[in-house]
Amino acid sequence: MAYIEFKNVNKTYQMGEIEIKALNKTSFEIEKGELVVILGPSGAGKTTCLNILGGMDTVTGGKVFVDGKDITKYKDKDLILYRRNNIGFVFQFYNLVQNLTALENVELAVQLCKDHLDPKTILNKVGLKNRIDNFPSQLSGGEQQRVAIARAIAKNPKLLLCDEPTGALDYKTGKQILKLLEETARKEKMTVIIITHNAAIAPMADKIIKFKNGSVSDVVINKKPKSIDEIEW
Amino acid sequence: MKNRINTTCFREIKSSFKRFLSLLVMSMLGVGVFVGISMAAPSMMKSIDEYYDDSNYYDVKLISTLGFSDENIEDIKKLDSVKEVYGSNSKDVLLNTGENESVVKLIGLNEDINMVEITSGTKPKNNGEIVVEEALLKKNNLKIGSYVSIVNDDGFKKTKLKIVGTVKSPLYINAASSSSDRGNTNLGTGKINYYAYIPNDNFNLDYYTEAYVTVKGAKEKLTNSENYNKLVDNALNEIEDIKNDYKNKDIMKFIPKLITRF
Repeated sequence: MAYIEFKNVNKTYQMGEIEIKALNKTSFEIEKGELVVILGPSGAGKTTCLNILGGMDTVTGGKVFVDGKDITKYKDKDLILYRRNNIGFVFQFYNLVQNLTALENVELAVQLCKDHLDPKTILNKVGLKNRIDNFPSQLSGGEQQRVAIARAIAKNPKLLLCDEPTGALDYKTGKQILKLLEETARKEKMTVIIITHNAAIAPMADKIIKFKNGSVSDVVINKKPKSIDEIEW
Repeated sequence: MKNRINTTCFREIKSSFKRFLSLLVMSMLGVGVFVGISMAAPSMMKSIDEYYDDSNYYDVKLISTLGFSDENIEDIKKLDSVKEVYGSNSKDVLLNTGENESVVKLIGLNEDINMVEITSGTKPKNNGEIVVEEALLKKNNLKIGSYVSIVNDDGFKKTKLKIVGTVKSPLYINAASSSSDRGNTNLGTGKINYYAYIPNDNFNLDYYTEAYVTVKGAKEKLTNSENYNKLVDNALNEIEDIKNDYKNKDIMKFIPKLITRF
């Protein structure tokens, strides 16, 4: 069995009489330590899929296995523990706590986990050595996203899930962020899943999952992934 | 490691402290109002219970057209649920207060049951003295030391009485309010205007006009609660049983007395 397995997952939203199918018989597999990119147009179901994987949403049909465990069977309390201990999430719009400094934001995430990394070290690693005592309103977009990534990585999670991490950033900063994610995947051997609608970065991934209309339209395996430095768009 | 959830919490309060304070005050007011309203009824019940317990207020009052003899009192006392029985005397009279005549209920002073509070002056020490309620003094321009007299009634040893004090009785707890009612009578206008206390000895009677009963275990319970009512109902049932015996027995004893009085 693969590390992550999505099996015929359905997610339907019921709005009165109208049924909206966000995911329709979605299935794919991901191995441990892979850097995966999920591509697809807007409304294809990419974020829904990542939310389910991150334990922030429930399915209306199908099964999801992570490291051998069926997370669709988890109740609220189990999901909370799953999210706390196993998942690091990077959001498109950072979602940092505005009245805590960068260091305190990372400390906040870290105080929930038993097996975590040192917040200061991680912030140094992402290149924010001089900005650890600044509040999010005093940081630029790229720096804020780096704090968010530091927050996710410091938890030492099994899965690092990134929902359009470079969506709000410019080309150069975006590339820096992607480089950081690539390093985490390759050096720390963490399973990293990145959602994007920028097809140009596909070559950096080990596996590319293409979404269309709520289901997987294509899975491409990259035997020789390129480094982000070599990719231009 | 410091708890960062607390840090963000305190900083948020500090940064908008005035707003936090006003929300706090509003919540306190809301809670205060709710607590006040919830406590009003239990508070009232407890107040009356304490007052009645302190003045040893009765649980059951017995009245009879023929009055109660010492024997009757003993019989009632023998009942299981009865703690104590007290015989008491009272009579409605016309009292001349100088300027006008009022209907006054005269009650015999008893130190043990329905205990009164002397609010000024002293207790009556002999048959020539009387303590009255405040309203009688105020509305008739009298004061302690004034004299009043009982009109046309030979049921008393002394009819010219000196007011020596003012009294508050638990039998008339809302006497101070303007809408209070002291009961009806067949004298004067039919309404009792005031109450007053005289020594038991001043009554020219050899029987009691009413009997006050306290029920075993009732003082410890909360007045008017379900438990209290159950106990008193029990006592009432026992008293009802002996009531039926009296209907026949005592008539024979009293008839000679009735004839002499008329």
